[in-house]
Amino acid sequence: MGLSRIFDISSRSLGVYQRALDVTSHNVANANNPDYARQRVVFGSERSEGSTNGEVGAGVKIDDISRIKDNLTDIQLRTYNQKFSDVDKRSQTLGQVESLFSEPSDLGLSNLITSFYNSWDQLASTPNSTPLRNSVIQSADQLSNKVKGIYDGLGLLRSDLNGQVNEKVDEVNSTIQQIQDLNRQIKSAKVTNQSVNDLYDRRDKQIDSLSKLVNINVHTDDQGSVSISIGGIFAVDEYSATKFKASNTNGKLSLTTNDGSSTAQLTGGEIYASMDLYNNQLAGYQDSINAVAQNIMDSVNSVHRTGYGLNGSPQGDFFTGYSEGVLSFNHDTNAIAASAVSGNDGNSGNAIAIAKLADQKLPALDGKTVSEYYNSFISSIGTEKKLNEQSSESNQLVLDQLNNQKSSYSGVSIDEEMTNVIKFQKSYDASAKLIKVADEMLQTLIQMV
Amino acid sequence: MRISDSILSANYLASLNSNKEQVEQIQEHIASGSKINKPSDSPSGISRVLRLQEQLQAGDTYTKNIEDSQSFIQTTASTLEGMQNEIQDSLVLFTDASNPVNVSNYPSYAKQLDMTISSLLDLANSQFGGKYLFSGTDFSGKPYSLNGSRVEQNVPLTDGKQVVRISKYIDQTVNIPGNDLFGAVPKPGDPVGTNTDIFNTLLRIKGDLEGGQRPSDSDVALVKTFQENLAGQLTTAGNIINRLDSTHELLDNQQLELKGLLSKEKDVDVAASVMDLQNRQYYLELSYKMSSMILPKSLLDYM
Repeated sequence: MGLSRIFDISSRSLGVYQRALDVTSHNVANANNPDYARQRVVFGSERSEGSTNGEVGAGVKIDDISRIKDNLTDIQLRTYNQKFSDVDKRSQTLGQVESLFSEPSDLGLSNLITSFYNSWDQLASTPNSTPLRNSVIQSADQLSNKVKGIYDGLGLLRSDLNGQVNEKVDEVNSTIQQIQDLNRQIKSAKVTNQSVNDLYDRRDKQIDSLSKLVNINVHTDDQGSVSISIGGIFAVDEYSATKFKASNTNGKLSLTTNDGSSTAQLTGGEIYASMDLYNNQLAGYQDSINAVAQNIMDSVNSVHRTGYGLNGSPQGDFFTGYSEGVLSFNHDTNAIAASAVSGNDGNSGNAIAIAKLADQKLPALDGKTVSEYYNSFISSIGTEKKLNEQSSESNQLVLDQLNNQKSSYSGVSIDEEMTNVIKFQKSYDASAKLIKVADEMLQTLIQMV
Repeated sequence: MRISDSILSANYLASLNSNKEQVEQIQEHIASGSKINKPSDSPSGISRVLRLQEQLQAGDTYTKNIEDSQSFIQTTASTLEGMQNEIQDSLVLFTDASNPVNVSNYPSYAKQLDMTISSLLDLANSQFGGKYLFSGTDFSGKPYSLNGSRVEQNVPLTDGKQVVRISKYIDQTVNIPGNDLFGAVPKPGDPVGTNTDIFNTLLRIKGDLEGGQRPSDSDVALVKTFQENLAGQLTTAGNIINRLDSTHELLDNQQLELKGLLSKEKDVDVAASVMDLQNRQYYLELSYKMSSMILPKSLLDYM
């Protein structure tokens, strides 16, 4: 055993602690990178060499630079990402739906429906009054405009959702492609024994993004490659990636493979929420508005037909038709059939009969009056929005907790890293000192010669 | 638990955000004065708010209808009182005419009666707000006019009842139909005969006086019957006025009660909200202060 061993051990030690400081500085640099998993140097002692004076250690080496990651937390995070994105998207969209109805305010449909029926009640007080007849026309006009505003607003929201779904499906395809690329890079890096920790971080980030859009199933193989399925359909592994598209069949959106041969069974994520809102909820709201308008029209017309206008003759329908949010009506004030007796312009029988329709329970509206049906419809939108809002908040809390757990395990602590810096620096200093000591010992020997 | 640097900032931001959300919500409540600004603020409350607003709006309509009707029926009542005065004068005149010493005054009585008939006709054709008071429900023209030697009814029917809704369950008749008041007035083209309506009865008496004859007992009896009927119709008008007044009062109370309920359902307790807001803002400021004190600290500061 010679002095050269001290040089040998110390110089190797210098290299190891320099590398350890590299890893620490990498950690510090990524302290605020939310997708980064901290790395830790795993030290090991060099294989010892046998000697006549017993076993002597050969110094330190780096066994591994490990990535600190808890897979269970990752799986839970993805599950809650799906749930949160789903309910959050619903909550946001229903917030827009709520604002379309402008309830409770003077501009809301509830107020305009009541105003419409009240205008007939007022007309009954002076049935031949032109201003009061104008008031009936005006209130019908406001009612018709609001119905159209809501129906068109819901239609616009649906078309926005359709556009968003297409954009998000493009995002799914590009994410899938990136995951496939990263799978390949990880495999080739492993073959050449390069570090793959940062590639894992990048891939996890992509998988997390995907989990916000759709429900996914992730499987990691022994080689570190992941295969992912979306709603039961294979999406990506290291060898291939499936292209998806949003298909619109008979007004119903679905996520299918590009050739249309398979349809994903979506149960979570933003795309699922958007499709469900488009296919069911918003379409259902449009149906309810249709029911309100159609029943006002049918009931008013059935009474209006039995009355007489200012010219003393029957006037037929007040509302001339309803289709896709457009409630048309006869704007001729003389044609308003307020009178129940021909030639009696002061008779208010028909106007009162129409005003009383406000309290009539209609079989087509589940045995409710128009207002009762509309009020419970508005209440159901409010309930739906509130439920999704609360669910979004509670999922956000769980996500915050999970992110804290993740951060607690994988996040960088500057205090910890600075402690390591001191530790590694001291070790580096000590190794350098040893080289100096060995050098001095060598000088002593040389001077002896 | 191992505390990484990002946990501190994430927790801080989450708490700060939650504080700000609550401040924003309280501010919205105070600014709008309402706890329910959208259906999701209270899904069950919104239904009650809409129903209460609906009832209030209907109540406003009924109140307006009552006020319009009150003016109409009050005008009717004062018109009836005007007729009563005219008829009273006529009856005095008939009593005078029954005294044989006054035979020489018959032409002057006839002139007086002529003026009474004109006044009665004017009163019978009175309008309020574009509606003839006594033409039933036919407002197409003046209901009565003198055509040659007799008064005729120009509209086919004067017995229509003007009905107005003054509450959800009350349809109130607010007019005195001409037919009920004056009797059956002949229409143009009706055969000439003895008409028992007040106008033609008075015309007949006038004719008698002009011819130097005393008014017949049967005609005087018809005028007296009209006077009684007039008193009866005035009572009816008075009853309608009372009914409208009491319903108005009832509606006012109902409206007040509904407004109270609506306010309870949706109005903000401003004092409590302002206190709440101050409290929240205090926490918010505390959070800001804490962030400046704690967040940047690490071992790095002491190295």
